[in-house]
Amino acid sequence: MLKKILMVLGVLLVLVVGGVGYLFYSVTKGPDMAKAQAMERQPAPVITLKTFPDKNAVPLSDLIGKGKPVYLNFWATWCPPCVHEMPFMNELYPQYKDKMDFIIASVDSKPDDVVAFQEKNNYAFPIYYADNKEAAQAYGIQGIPTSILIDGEGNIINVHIGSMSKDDMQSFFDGAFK
Amino acid sequence: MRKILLVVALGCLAYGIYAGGIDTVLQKATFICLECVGIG
Amino acid sequence: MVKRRIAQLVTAIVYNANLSGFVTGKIWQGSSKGLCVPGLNCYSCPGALGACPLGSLQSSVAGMALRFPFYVFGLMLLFGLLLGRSICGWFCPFGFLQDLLYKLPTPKLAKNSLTRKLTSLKYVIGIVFVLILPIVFLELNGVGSPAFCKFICPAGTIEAGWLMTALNPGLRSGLGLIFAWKSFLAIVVILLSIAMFRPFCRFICPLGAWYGLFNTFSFFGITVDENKCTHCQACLKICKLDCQKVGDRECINCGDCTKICPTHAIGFKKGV
Repeated sequence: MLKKILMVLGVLLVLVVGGVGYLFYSVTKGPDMAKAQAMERQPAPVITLKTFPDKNAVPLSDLIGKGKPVYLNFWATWCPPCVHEMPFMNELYPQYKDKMDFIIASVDSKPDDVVAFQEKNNYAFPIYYADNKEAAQAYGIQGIPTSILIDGEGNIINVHIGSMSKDDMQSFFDGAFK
Repeated sequence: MRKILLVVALGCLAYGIYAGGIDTVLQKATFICLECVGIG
Repeated sequence: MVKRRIAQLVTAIVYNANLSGFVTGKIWQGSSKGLCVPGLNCYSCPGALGACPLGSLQSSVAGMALRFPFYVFGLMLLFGLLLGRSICGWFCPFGFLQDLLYKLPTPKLAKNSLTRKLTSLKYVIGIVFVLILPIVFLELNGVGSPAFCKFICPAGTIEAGWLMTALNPGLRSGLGLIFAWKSFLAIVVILLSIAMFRPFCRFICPLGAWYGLFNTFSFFGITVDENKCTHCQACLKICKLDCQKVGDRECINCGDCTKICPTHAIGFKKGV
């Protein structure tokens, strides 16, 4: 008898938690990873970045839609695949920097970590700071690294979640010029 | 021994929170490093 | 014990109460993720509301620089002191899953001297994959990797790897050797859990290894009244784990022995 009561209570608990969970979802919709892919051909959402190392605020709209395609990459110093693909980015940067702008946006919560990272590695491409919550909401970022290719008019051409080999990265960049 | 360890635990916790430990955990738990969870 | 099953069920639900995540594939990104739950529950599970202590420990030790993880260490020390391996027996969803799998009616592999020896393996795995390898990766690559999460953890494979890739087609292009290896390990653990009681908890889990260190003096857990004990060893015979003494580092405080003791010498500590 006691077991039956406890089972019923257990089921009720699941229903209550489910109901509360649904309420949470409807009040606070989180970012959608599929949203990132669905955004192809859509205007790139404008978020506020900060320059590195000065931390001056700059809206993304100041950096895109200027006639040149843009490679936007969200990364963090603590993310091994993000760090792993950076040497490839650095090797390709001189080849592409005149025809494409690079925005390599760190979502680190500790800006000093990015300073230490760049002091150690001295990469040539431009680094920015991004707010991880704003990027997550605007671009549906849940996993990093996430690479976004934006055309000269400020529309998203392609999105890739995860790290890339040098060849894959080059193919990704070349997609801006087809 | 138990009480000493309890003091150590609470001390580490307090200092860790002060030093931003919650933020460190939060950023890694809310922004998934895909390879870190075996997707790779 | 019915109470234990309820605790396990409630724990599994509370740890993963972002139920909409199981439908949409979106992980919870609220501030509750800054708190580590006591049991093994991957923070990349779409339902997870908290962080995994083991994943957090590895990430905190060797992210971009070597740092002592005061916050996570303090929490793990506190959990161990308060509850010891009661966490394994009562408050861990992955332990609960293994318990349920073991209920399937198949021939079972009994514990023996080999399984007793194998229980030390989880300490080696903990030291190598949770402490040493993240630091080695930091030295080699400039950034640490949570090696236990990356190469072993079946909880992460099932809760995050399989679930997230099922719900998010965009992730599938990233699947490779690591995913294949981890999936193989997860399947092995699942199959073994049917024939053998809690193989992951006994032989692999570094979190259980850590909590086991506190078992004999944690505030809550199993205790034996030595004045009543007749050393008949009925408790050890019924124990499905590799305990050599009630409440030792292998004991998950499930309470099965409390029912079998002829002199009622075994009970739960009152927390004093």
